[in-house]
Amino acid sequence: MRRVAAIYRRELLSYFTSPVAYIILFVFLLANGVTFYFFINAFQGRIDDILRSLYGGIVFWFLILLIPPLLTMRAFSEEKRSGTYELLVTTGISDTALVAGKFLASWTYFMFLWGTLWPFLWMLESVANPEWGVLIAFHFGIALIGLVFCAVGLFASTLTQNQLASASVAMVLNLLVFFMSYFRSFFQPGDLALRYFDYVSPAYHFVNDFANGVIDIRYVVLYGSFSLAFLFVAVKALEWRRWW
Amino acid sequence: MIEVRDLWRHYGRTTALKGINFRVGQGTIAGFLGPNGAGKSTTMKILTTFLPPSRGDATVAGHDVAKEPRAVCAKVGYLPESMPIYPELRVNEYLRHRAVLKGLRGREVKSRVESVMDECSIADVERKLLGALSKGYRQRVGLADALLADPEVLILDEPTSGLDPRQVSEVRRLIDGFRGKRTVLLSSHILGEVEQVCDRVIIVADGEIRVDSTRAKWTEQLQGASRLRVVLDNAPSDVHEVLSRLKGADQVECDGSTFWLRSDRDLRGAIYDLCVKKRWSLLELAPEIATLESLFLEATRDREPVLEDAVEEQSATGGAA
Repeated sequence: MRRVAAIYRRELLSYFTSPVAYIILFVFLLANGVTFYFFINAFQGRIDDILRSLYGGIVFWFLILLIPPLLTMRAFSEEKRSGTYELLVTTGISDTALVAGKFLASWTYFMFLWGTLWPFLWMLESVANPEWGVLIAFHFGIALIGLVFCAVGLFASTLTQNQLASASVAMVLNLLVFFMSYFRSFFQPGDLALRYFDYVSPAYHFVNDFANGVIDIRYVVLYGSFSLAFLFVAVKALEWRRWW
Repeated sequence: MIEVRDLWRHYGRTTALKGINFRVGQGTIAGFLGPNGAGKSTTMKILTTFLPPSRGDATVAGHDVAKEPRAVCAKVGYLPESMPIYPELRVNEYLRHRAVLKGLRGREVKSRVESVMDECSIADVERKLLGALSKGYRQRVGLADALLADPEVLILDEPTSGLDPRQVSEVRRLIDGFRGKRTVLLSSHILGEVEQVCDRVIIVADGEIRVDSTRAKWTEQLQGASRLRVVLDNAPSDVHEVLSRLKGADQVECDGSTFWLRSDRDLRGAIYDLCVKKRWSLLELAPEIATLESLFLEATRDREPVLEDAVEEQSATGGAA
């Protein structure tokens, strides 16, 4: 545990001392600020529409899908490229502790980014009456999906020494997860497969449940097990690389 | 103690180690020499559990590197080649981070960090960012890191590379102080360094061990290889014969007017007297002392190293990206 904490601390510190993280923060704030301004003007205080666009629009998904890979691309790639990985491994730390520390750090930074939205929402209070339950549900959804995408990103980062390659692999995997909802159109209503895709597609969850303020334990299980699966594969990838 | 038995390592089709055997006893400082790509770093990476051996086994401080890697890690301090760092951390932050990773706790962390900083004389830069340090300081931070957990065995991959002569002698003094307390395996390109510090020298080339010798043995070997050079002006034809008949001269070689004598005693006085007597004009009379370098060149001469350093490094850090 102390080792996980040590990795976590260093990793977070490296986010706050690296230019990449600040660029991400800048882009994030800019994108959300602009959309917020635009939707406030466009929907003239119709709070439901504002929220639906803010938490389901193209900018939202763009940020959800593309930011985690940028946060995790360095995680193992950079350590392997610079050789610090060798130093890390020879302290006797377990691969699981290593992955856990880095995963928690990337997720924390991801949540920090989304936390910057709260001042915007607080301002909404003066124009309309946002339903805080819905907002909390949205952020709960973001936290859950962040777990999955950070785990995917970490896994991608164990595969290569090249940060760009790592980010690309993670983005492709994320898009696959996201576009699962589009497979719906292949099926008739009532098909078992349709129900399956509804169960696992994040876009569907955001539009139908989180937007209505529903926090379902099934999502915790789904996203939780998804992320655990990817973390497990990441640990195995590290082990396999060592025995190669 | 380090014990290596019939150790093999393949990288794909290349064979980096071809069944090497050696043993470094408790408290001994051993020098690991060899041309680039000879298998030094590979061996060290196996001993620190970073790489698994393809075949054979290695024991460090009583634990098998493949079967009990954690136990080995706990007893080994490792300084990798060209000391990789996190540029954004300060020296003391980095060492504290490393101390926690190595399993130190609470007050121990603080006291060990302070003591290794003193030992490696880096206390004056403790607040500096690692990325801003000179190569010499960086290397010493690496050495401090290796010493953090008070390890029984130290594995140092080129500990003095990139240091200026004063720093080299400081590091050498530091390593010298480990004698009898820690088992040290250090690789180096600087033969003089190995000659001064090490009790034992192991020369590898092409994945095989060419020389494995203790200080006493190699000193004797080198003494046997030392000779006296005599240069005469217009040497008459009988010089070779006369010199050979000189009492104590074991072997005389000649090349034009230059002669080399091997002997187990000092013949300089006798040769001078001889020259005066024979009215030869003596231009030069000098002992040629064999060094470890000649031993090294001899051991590594016959075949060119096959492995490129780059191949070794790339495969070692995880292979095809």
